[in-house]
Amino acid sequence: MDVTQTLEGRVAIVTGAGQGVGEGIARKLASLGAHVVIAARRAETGEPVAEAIRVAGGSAECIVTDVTTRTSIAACVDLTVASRGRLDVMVHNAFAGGHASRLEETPADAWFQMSRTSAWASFWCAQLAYPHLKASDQGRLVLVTSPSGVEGSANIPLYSPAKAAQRAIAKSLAREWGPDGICVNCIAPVAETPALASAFSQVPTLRGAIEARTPLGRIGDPTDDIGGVVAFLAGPDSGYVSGQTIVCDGGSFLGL
Amino acid sequence: MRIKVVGSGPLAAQLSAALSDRGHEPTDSAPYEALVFAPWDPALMLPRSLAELTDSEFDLAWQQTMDAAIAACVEAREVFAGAGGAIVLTLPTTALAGGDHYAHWAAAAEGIHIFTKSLARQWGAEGIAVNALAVSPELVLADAVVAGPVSIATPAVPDADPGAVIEFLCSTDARNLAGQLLTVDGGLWM
Repeated sequence: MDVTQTLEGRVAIVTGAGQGVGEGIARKLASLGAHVVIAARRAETGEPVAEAIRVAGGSAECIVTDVTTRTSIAACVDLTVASRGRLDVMVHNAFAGGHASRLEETPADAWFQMSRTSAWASFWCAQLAYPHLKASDQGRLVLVTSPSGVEGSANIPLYSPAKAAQRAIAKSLAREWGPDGICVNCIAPVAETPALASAFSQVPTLRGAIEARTPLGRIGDPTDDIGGVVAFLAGPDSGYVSGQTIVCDGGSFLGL
Repeated sequence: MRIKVVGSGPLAAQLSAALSDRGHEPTDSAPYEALVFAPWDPALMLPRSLAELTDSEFDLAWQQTMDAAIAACVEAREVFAGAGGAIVLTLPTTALAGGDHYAHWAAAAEGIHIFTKSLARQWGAEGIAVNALAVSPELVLADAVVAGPVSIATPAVPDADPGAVIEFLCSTDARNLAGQLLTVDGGLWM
């Protein structure tokens, strides 16, 4: 099989694709033939990713998108469908607001950001993509959650429920959209990203703690280790997988 | 034991009655030694397809439930004043199984579930035992049939009663548990 053709003809939106895990996912989907919309909050980060994909021979464009508002996500979806005529894959990855704190000291704005970019944005991305995913013969919704959304977090206590909500949404939509042929899944990655680097700076012992309990002994690469799993969930081989969370963390979390 | 029970729906009433029957004093004001968070109310927990779900409905389910849980737990920690205590957060097993037409409430329920673990990790060293109790969706959803079956099995324990389990989780006997979920649904979710 020529794997470079796996996602040929598919159109995907990846939120938060201006850096980190989202960028890795976007690069991987594009490398497999999909047209990828880099839905980034800032053109300064999104445009270079889209340009790099095009230089590498792929197809991509940047649409500046703020996932904390319904109207911005709606505009991204509308522009994508207007220009490409379809939307097959929606990947919601963007997230903001996670900073180490005690619960009783967590600023309201931080909780607002976490709630908006995870639960609310998952709701909006799903709802606005739904008619197009339904029209596709291979509709896929992938929500990027976190191992902390399963295990809880002592460092960022409200990060975990915000990420957990995404898993419940995925399970519920797997039930609700199954008759439409749409598969809905989550991935829970651990990867070398600016967000993780920030977490390491806030909690200096965190890197060592993660590496010590990771059987594969390293933190994942956003493109090769995480993007490939999302490509599977976005492609034809995952047509009987729905409502699942795939933990991509080198074997660190073994609780499922 | 004085136990604050948060919630105005039938689950909160059932748990309050069970605690009262066992000699405890359910209350809605400080001081108290344990908190039970049971906000789930079938009058509010209506099914809605995601395609038709409004922002206000998602706000009611996800945001307001989480905000209420955060406020109740922070208050409880202040009331415990360093002396330790118990927090029990309840949820329907819809959190674990998902629910057709119930993405909004499933999000809230699973958020509460994992919030339990975060709090247990952060507050356990202060002597606060934070755990969760899961109950059957039939107790809290307006239409559990629409949500879909949690399991294809029949209940292993028909008419399972969460009364004894909620009492245990509130008690000092449960202070060595942290972030655990005990499910009393007749054995449908395993």
